[in-house]
Amino acid sequence: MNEPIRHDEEREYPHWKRVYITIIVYTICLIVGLWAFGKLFE
Amino acid sequence: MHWLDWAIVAAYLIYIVYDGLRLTKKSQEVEGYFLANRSLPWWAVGLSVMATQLSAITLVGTTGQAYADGMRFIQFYFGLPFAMVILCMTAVPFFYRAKVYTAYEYLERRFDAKTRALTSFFFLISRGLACGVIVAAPSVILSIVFGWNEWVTVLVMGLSTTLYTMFGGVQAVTWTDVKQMIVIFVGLFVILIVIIGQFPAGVSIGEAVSLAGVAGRMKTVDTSFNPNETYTLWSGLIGGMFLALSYFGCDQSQVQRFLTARSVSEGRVSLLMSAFVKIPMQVLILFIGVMVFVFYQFVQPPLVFKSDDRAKVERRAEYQRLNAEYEQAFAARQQAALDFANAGNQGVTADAARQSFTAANNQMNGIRKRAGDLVRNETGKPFNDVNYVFPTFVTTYAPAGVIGLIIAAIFAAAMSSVSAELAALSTATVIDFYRRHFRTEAPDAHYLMVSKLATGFWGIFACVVALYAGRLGSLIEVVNKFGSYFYGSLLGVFVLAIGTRRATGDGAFFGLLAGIVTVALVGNYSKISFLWYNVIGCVVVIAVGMLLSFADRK
Repeated sequence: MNEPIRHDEEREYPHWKRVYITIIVYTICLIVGLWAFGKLFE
Repeated sequence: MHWLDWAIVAAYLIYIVYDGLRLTKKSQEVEGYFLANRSLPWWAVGLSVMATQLSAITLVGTTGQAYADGMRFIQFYFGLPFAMVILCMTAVPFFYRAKVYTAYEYLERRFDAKTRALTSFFFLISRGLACGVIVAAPSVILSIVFGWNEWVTVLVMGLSTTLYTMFGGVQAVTWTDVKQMIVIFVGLFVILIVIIGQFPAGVSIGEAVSLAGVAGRMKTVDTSFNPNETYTLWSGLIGGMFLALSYFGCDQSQVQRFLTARSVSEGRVSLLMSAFVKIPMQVLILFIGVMVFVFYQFVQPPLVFKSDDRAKVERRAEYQRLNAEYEQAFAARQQAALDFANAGNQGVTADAARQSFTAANNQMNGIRKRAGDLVRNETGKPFNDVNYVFPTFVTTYAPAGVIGLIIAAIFAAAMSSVSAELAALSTATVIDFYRRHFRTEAPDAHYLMVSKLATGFWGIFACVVALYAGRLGSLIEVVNKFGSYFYGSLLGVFVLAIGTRRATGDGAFFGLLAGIVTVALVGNYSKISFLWYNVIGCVVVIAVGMLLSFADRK
């Protein structure tokens, strides 16, 4: 990936990958939950 | 309308304009006006991201769509959280650290001036028109439902938003967005309580949901892979993800939001807030529409919700005959619904009630379709009254005070989207065109003055478009479709810019044109759902762009 022009570096939070994985798992659970909820009342 | 409702709407409008204008003093230079000096906290930016996306079309149209079609529309948002994660890993740190004002500014650094100008030009055209539609949608609906003058509604909504955005800049946009989101959330929860409170005695929420399920309104996920079907799991996950990538990563109205954050991390969190909250919030909005549907199982709904269309046909003998049939079918459905609720959703009685209910419901749908055909023949225009279901319910059955709160929420949804669009349109006009091509060296105060004038110009442009765009059909899909012609192709250009080293300016420029032409052809000559346009546009731009780039280098 191309590098952007950097003016200053900030101290990065080191665990972004964990945050991203949490959101992906949360979204999958949400979709499965909605599917199951819909099935329950079909 | 009750004086209390007028007072709530007036108080909302006065407070929002005052709140926006008092931030004028924080926007005394161009960076403060367009980027709030990169000083805003993540939660304010996050709410602003959500407020920008949630327009009045979403609020009113989605509830109506849930009434007519159930919860299936939720699939449209399934790809959004995945897109947010991708953007947090790529676009947010990239644009933020590049210290750009607009996303398109980066394209000149990477490619050339013409690619920047073309993308920014397409953004100005598409979002300038979309901005008009965002103002028009609630104005048309409110003018028909309340009998208000459409011009006055457009001007009150459009000019008040223009006023505070013009003077307060992006600070005003963000902080009014925060208050507007609060008004919207309060309005949604209050109206849900009002609807449920009006169910007949003995009908619980569980029974209401069961009844909605019998009528097919609780189906949320469609796993069929049919590209002609608009809302399926796959179109939502794949097409929806591409749409969200394009909208949140390439549309200046959203890129500008995270550029105002204090740091890259706060910019990321502001987007991830939407990833967490967007689907549950849309479920709430759709659920309100489904509960309105359940309410109308016990109270007869109008045969045609759109009152001006109804007025054109209600004296005709055929309409009166249909209305009589509709009343009979409603009486049968009402009795079946009560029997079903009283039977507790189980046993032989419930099964019989379920069958009677389904039959009567199908009969009512058939009569409504025939009434729609009658209106279509009379007016010569496609018939669609889903956008009028929710406002009609509110005006007819909500108590005084709640009506004002919901109108304020509809205004808030529209104004929060319009203000962000105006700020973005002004930024692109000044940074990508005026400062780049017309007046390259001038004092900051000059650019600030031109920026305010540009905001004012786009505000007036949106109002003019709104006055002529009122009859564009199914409003909820118009804006999405409109964006889809450009969005996917725009995303393709940014993928070429950020993701490859070999792509050239000519490759990106002509790739973009090829993508837009392809999507326009697909849109006009195939039945493929609009959610797939973004995927097609993006892939075509990358393929054509890379081919031309390789040819260029040889």
